Amino acid sequence: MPRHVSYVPLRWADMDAFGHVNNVVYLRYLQEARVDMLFIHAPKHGAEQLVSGVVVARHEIGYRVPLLFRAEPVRVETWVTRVGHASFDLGYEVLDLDESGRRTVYAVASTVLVPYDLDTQRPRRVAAAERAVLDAFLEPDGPVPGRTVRGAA
Amino acid sequence: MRHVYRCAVRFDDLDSFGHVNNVTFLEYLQEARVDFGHRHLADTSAPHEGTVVVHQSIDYLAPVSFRTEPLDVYVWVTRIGGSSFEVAYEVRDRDTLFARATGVLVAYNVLEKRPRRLTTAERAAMDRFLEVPT
Repeated sequence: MPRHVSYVPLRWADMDAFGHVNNVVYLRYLQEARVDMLFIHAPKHGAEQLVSGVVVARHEIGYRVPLLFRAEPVRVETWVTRVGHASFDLGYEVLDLDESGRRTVYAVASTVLVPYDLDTQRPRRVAAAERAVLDAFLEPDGPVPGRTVRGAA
Repeated sequence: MRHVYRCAVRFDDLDSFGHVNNVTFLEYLQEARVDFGHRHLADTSAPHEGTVVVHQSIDYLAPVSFRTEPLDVYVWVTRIGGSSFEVAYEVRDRDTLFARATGVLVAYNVLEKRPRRLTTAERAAMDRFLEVPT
């Protein structure tokens, strides 16, 4: 299954006092990629309702390699790992892909999302049209944000 | 023992859904963690001996609307290893638990750009906040 691909520009102020992109900012990059996938791509394919409300129920992220400011945007690949009745899960990789196809992965993450009716302030079920769009990105056994710490005990 | 950081909610923390954006919660965690470090880990390591975040998880339990009363962000230690440690957080007020989160941090030599061992003083200071999950 294909992954949704976004290119997210970095900002100079994304870096912290350690001179690398701050941990919180990665979640902002994921949000940009998620909004691109769910609020721009998905409605064009029949899942218009997603724009009107999806809330984040959980995030998990593993940071692999520090990311430094540069003019080129960073690539964020997003896919679907599970579609339930009233929630669905996304997987992400934040990476660079060079001409030879070599991948430098900066972070791996996952998110649990709940479709939400903002008018009634209640969660709602995943609609059939939404499921169809999400199923096109289904990759249940992709990389996960493990807790293994390389080079550290 | 848990450290508590009183975290003000800013007007522009809210997104177009009218609640505090999910990313902003991680800023609140970071503010609480840095405040914990400044108050309780100052002088336990040299200036070039920092820590970096290698893993985080957060569960959002209730939305936060705009408010003038600060949130209470609790932070405590759940594991102390040789060169890494883990923390847990709760974002709450008197009535509501808004989010629960965890973080894995690695002690890091900023000059050499590599992991380092935790100092004895760091371990002793953190030990007072150690609460091993059951």
